[in-house]
Amino acid sequence: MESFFIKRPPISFINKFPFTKEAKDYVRIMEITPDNLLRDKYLINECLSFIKKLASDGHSSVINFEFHNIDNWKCYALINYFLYCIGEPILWSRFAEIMRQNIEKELGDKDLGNIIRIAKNTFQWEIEKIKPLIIRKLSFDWRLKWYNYINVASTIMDESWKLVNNYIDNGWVFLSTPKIRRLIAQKVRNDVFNKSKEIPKSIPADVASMISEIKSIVKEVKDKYEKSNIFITSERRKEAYPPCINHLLNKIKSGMNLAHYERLILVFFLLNIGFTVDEVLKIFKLQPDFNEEKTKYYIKHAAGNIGGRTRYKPYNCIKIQSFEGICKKNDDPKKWCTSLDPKKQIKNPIVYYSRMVWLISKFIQCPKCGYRLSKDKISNAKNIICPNCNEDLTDLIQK
Amino acid sequence: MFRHIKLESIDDLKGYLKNHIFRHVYVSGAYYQYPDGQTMTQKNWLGMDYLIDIDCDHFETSCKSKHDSWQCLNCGKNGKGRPPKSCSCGSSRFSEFNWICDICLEQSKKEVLKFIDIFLPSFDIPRDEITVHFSGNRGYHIIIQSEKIRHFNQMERREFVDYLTGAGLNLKFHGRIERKKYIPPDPKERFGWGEYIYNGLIKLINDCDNGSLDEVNISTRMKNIIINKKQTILDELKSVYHSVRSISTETWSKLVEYVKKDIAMKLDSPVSIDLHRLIRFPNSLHGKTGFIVKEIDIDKLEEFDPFSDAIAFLENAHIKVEMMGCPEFRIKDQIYGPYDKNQKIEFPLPAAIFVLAKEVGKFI
Ligand code: SF4
Ligand SMILES: [Zn+2]
Ligand SMILES: [Zn+2]
Repeated sequence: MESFFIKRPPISFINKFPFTKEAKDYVRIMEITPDNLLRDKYLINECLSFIKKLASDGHSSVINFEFHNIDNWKCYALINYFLYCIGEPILWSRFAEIMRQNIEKELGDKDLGNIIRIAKNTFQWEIEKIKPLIIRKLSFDWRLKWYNYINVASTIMDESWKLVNNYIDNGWVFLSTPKIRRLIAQKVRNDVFNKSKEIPKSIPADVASMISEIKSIVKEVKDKYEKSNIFITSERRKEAYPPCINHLLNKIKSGMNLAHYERLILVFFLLNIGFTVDEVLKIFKLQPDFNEEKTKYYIKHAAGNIGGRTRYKPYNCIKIQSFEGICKKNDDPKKWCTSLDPKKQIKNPIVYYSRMVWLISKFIQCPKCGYRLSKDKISNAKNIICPNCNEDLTDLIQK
Repeated sequence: MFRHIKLESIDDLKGYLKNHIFRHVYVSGAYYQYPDGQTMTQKNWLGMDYLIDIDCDHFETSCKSKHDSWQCLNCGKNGKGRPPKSCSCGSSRFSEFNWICDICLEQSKKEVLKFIDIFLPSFDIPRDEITVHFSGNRGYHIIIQSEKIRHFNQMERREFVDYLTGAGLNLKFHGRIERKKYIPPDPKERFGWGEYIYNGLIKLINDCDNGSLDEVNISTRMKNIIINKKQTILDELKSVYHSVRSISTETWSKLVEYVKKDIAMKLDSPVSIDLHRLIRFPNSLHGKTGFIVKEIDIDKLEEFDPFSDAIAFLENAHIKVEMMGCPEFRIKDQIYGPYDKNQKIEFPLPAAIFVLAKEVGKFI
């Protein structure tokens, strides 16, 4: 068994699975650096056009990780380098999604050896092939330690992946081959996406010029998204959103994949303040794994709950705060989120919203200094000037 | 509050605690490269033990209606037990008075035992990586110090806590659902929750003549049927290709639902998910009771009596206290109270400390 792992894998393995430890070792042994790769014009073109597709076509289902007359592993290495230099999470997450689908396909039915090799060598999983356990016509051929399992399964949004719904015994989770395949692919996806957290240091001038076109495509896509949502996430409404919701909306805008609970928080909030299913759908369009059918079903499901008897309350602040990094109460310009006064304190993002809407409807805000003055007080006067900066507000009132 | 303190030796710690007299002492459950850093970035997080916080505040106990009470902060109306969602005056702000007794602490202990006896065998966490503490007040802490778990992120932590509380459990993955009836898994497919529920059902039916069905929401007629057919039902459950014919679908799902709820751990989830929690320092005194935050040998958990084994002070000194009123309580073999307002009592030291720490009495 041992020698099986020590033997150097064939180049075809490295081409199929360029993210593996074997591939990295190979790159190291061959002393390949970005500089080497950047001498190959053809390679550069292939990679750049792949990234261009990522940026414009977006959704992963239409793009394959396939190249002609060139080693896949080289493309993988250079694409990673380019993405690192571009520094756009939205490209990373789209790339991650494509890799996931690609790996799942490559880990075909026959080649179980690759599963073991990748799981053990690259991910250091504790995994074993077992004598199949047949339970209600399903064959469980593998067992994997629960901590390795939840590391990946916790990022898959489906109840069948929850640990609580799986067979576990003495720390081992029993799994079918398709599930192991999906786990490996998902792990690759997560690892690729995590690279988006690295901040590019110095970018050589020639590379900067190569990627500038892509950068502007990404900007265009984002602008288009922004415009299509101008009504629903307009500045005016944004002002009424609590910091946590604005944070999630910003995350979507930069193309980052939201975790399951982040999506739920956002969907329930938006539905509760009167968004339609289609409006919510539009907002999710920029998600790298966006699938119109699925997302629609999912939002409708949530909306159904709102109309029906089991009205689903939006997450309250305590619940939101139990997830690290979503509550941004320190960013609250009104300081309601951090208030210690129980009358002012925000217990639920919806409360923040309705209070803010009330405030906006009762007051007008001076466009120059931001000072708010009550509409009640000014309704009779003719000439209105801002008491704070003396700006003439008459026009504003008449509107 | 003194925070971000780093101490290098036991002697430093002793000195520090002697120089400052603290009412509460905590230690970080997280590991940092620089524990004395003032911000999280400066500290550099390295990992965090897995904490399970069991506090009787998080579940219903029969004793709460006797010893807990509330008062509306708006109109002054008051009542026993837990406060209602909103007062008849419309306000939802209350002050609460909570007490502890044998019943609620026993219930908390039961949760710990469930973790050890039911859940632990499904995992490969060695016993010596688990410590159990009496919290010093309303419950127990389970701390898992495992190399494998220490690096869990929030999602992983949540997944584990969901497992323990049964959140997201769908029975269709454990057993069969036929005509809305849940049929427990066969022996060879009994793992995890499927196994827990199966064992729970057997136990429930086995004890049905001893009142195990008392709290199950089914009619008395149905309960009697189960008691009469006990053996048949058990046989059906234990047969390999069983189906339980003797009970109606509806009753059956109520039994399963009851067992599921009973097995699910009642714990404070956010504590387990947090990456930066503080834990009460073991062997310190809890500032609201004067009881010791005591580590308990898992094998002796069942015998542990918080009202005797966590008492720090000797009984030979006495202190006079003027009471503000409180329910009865026990220290060792002695039951005290209930007391009314203005009663003046001379207590042995442990009881006096308890009353003072609970702030239901003052020195005179
Ligand atoms: S306090 Fe509540 S509303 Fe404010 S940011 Fe946090 S979660 Fe959102
Ligand atoms: Zn009231
Ligand atoms: Zn009690």
